[in-house]
Amino acid sequence: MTLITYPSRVHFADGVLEEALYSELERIQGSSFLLVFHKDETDSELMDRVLGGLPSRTTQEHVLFGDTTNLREQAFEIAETPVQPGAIIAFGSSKAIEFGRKIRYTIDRASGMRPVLFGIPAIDGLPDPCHRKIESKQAGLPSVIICDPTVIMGAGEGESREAAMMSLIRCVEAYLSATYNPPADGIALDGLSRCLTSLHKIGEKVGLDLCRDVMAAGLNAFLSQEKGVGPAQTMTQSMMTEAPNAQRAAIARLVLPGVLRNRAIDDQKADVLGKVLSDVKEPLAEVTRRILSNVQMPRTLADIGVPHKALDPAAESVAGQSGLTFLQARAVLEEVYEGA
Amino acid sequence: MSQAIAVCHGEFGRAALYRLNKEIITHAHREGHLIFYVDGPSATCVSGGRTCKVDADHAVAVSPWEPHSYHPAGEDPQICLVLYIKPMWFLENSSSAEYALKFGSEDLTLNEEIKGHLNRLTCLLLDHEGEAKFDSLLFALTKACFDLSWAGSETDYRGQIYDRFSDYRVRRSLRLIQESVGEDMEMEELARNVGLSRPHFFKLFKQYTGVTPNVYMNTLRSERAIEELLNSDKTVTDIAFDLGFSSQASFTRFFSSNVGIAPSEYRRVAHVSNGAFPMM
Repeated sequence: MTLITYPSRVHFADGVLEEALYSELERIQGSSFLLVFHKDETDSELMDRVLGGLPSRTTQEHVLFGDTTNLREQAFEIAETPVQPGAIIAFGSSKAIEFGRKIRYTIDRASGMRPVLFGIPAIDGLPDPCHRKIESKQAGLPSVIICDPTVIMGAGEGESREAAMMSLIRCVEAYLSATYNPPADGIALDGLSRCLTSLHKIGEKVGLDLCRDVMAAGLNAFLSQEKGVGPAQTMTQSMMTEAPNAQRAAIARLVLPGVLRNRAIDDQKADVLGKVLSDVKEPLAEVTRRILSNVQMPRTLADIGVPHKALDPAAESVAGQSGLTFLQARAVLEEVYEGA
Repeated sequence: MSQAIAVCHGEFGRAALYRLNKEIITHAHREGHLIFYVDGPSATCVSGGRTCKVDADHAVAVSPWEPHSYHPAGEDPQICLVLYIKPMWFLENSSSAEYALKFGSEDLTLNEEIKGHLNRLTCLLLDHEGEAKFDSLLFALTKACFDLSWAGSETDYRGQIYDRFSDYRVRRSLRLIQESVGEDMEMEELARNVGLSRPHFFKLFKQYTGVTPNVYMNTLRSERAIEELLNSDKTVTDIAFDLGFSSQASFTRFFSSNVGIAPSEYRRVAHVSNGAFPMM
């Protein structure tokens, strides 16, 4: 049995941020808001724009964070304060939106009141579903997502490329997941096509068209993850606990081809995916490796700074998932640790 | 003196039936705005630099934040139906995605369909009944006008956005204005706070927002005044002081010239509809 839930209201348009935020806040008739953002976002253009979208005569509390390693504990601390916002507005990094999700969950647990969660993504998109399912399902998806491509107009080439690559990895894994969820499959395929378009354009073209594709790919990747997190992402997440400053996309792009070679894949799905990714018929693992290796990034996990001791826990985290054994997962990681 | 015959607030925005014989100065609204003739002499409305007729065959469509003014022909009042439609409500109920509710043309030559909707809507507004019917009729009228405003247009700019927020100085000034509604803010000081001379600030603000800082501030003050009149028990005098006016008389002058009628008159007739949002 499958339960498909898409409870989010999504705004997606150029320059829509302020009007959409104002209208949505007016709609819920809230008067107190909690703004959640990374400290680097203080006095940024995005923060200015978010403040510009708040109705006048409202009260705002700000939650800035810098340390991203213990968001859960920080969220529990916030839930113990007298802050009872009608809405949480999390903007900027995916970590900020993840933090907003955790704060909403802890406030809900502590007081039984579930504030409306707004997610306003920037270049690194929206967060992965939480590993603890209870936070990632109904209690955790943003109630309102405002995607405004003009927000990422100033993003650099590297950031854009990383975002597009990460979306591609998420879409591939979501599509291949055995969970029966036709809408998520469709969203994943559209996301993939946008990732490919973006990856071709980044570095050659700039402008709103590209921003729109990068942001749409990120949104689609996020929504397709209704099916859960794939093994390449799970192992990436596990290794990042030992290398917190590493680029997520840099790790995931090395891991994905090996995972695709070893995991159980439905033939029909592999065929559809192959057609979206390439005009030439070749094994799925090869196509993804070729696409993902077209990018200037470290070639091994060791170059990225992942310690060797991180491989075992990473392999353990996916043992039994998608037909992968511990030994297979471990071999995939070893192969890309120092290069074949 | 201009009078209100009926005013209805709802999730859609607001709808009002006014008897107007006084000019309404240049102002703007956050909502999409439609002005229809119901009875009496004809009038004109200036919007987007064009003078448009408000008579039995013509209505005026004003996009959000478009400055406009209303001019009666003489002393005899015109009865007109004015709608202020929230873009989000329109978006929720339409199958398209024209967020900004930006009209293609200000000047609408009415067809029989629109005239029929208009007559029925006016009757419902006077009855204060049939709220479900009122909302669906209101949507049908707005949609018909929206489509008509774009009919014959060579280029479709429906998806065009306002870039009100793309200059950081304008962004900052919008925030400052928003935070100081109810305070006596000098434009000179506002310009200085965002690092610009007064003339440069006015030029830049108008360029990005389409309205002058004064019109923008007046819009926010009018919104706040309407909200207070509708939802609070404060006296009109208290509302006036809270909004930074030195007397009730100056507030009444401001309100009448921006909204069309006196604040006490507005409060007397306004009521809130409980229509579902979005319509089911």
